[in-house]
Amino acid sequence: MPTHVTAVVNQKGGAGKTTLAMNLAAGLARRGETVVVDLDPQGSSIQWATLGSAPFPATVKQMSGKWDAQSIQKGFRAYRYTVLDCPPSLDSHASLQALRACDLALIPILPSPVDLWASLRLPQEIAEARKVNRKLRAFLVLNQMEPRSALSGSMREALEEFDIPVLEAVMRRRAVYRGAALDGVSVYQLGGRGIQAAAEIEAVINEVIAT
Amino acid sequence: MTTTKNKLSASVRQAKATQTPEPQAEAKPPAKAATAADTSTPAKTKPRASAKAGAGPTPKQQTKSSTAAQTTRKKMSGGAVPESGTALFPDRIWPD
Repeated sequence: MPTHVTAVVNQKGGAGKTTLAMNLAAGLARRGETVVVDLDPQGSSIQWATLGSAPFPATVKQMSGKWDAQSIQKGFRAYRYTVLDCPPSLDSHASLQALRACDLALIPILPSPVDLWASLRLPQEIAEARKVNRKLRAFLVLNQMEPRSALSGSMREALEEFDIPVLEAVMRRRAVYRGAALDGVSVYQLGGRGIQAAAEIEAVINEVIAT
Repeated sequence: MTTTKNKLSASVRQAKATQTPEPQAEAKPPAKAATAADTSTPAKTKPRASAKAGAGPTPKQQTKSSTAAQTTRKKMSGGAVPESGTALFPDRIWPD
């Protein structure tokens, strides 16, 4: 059975790619063998996984040497789920190959006008990738949402301009996401502190992966 | 809330319009117009007209334009060979 590949992409830095990738992988690891492939030269996923006193629930790896979309699909077929943590650039080899290799692209986006403006090229890039990878599905994931903020409340309407569907599931702005990174664990491993965040990640998984 | 929604959506539309490259057919005419303007309008007459009207360029602009004029003159005076002049770092120093 081929591995299900999810790419977490956005050309904007600080949108929450690694946070989503790592917690998503932890959630998927409860369903089957999961690997996170850290494609970002900053190596944040690797750093995250090596910090913890407890082992991270998913394997975290990096690509080395020459590789392409096929290398990902073949190289990680032993895993049920592969999560690609992409660099903050759509022009990079890593992002292009990730979009060609994946079944699903998740695009975290912050409730901020600057982040919206910076992400406007995404629909074009997704359309380009679909020319090669016809099975590709792409969704925007609202991250760091603040329920009482007018800006957060305005996001769905503004995102209609993107022509990329927005997930119903959202990630709220929670200190526990940052705390999990600091402890080198996922929000699933934080017990009561992480319950609400873990429920948000579960909602993402149930909406688009484990259906 | 509605104001924020409208502002945010409008800003995205505006950014989208700015980032979307114009079709070539639309982009060509302004380029042609600019070329035509360059050849037909004598650039030298413009500063004179403004000087007559008493709304001349600022001292900084005057310095810039006079320096540019000197440079042009310098380049032209020697035909194809530029003079070294008195500049501290000339583009090219010619042996005596």
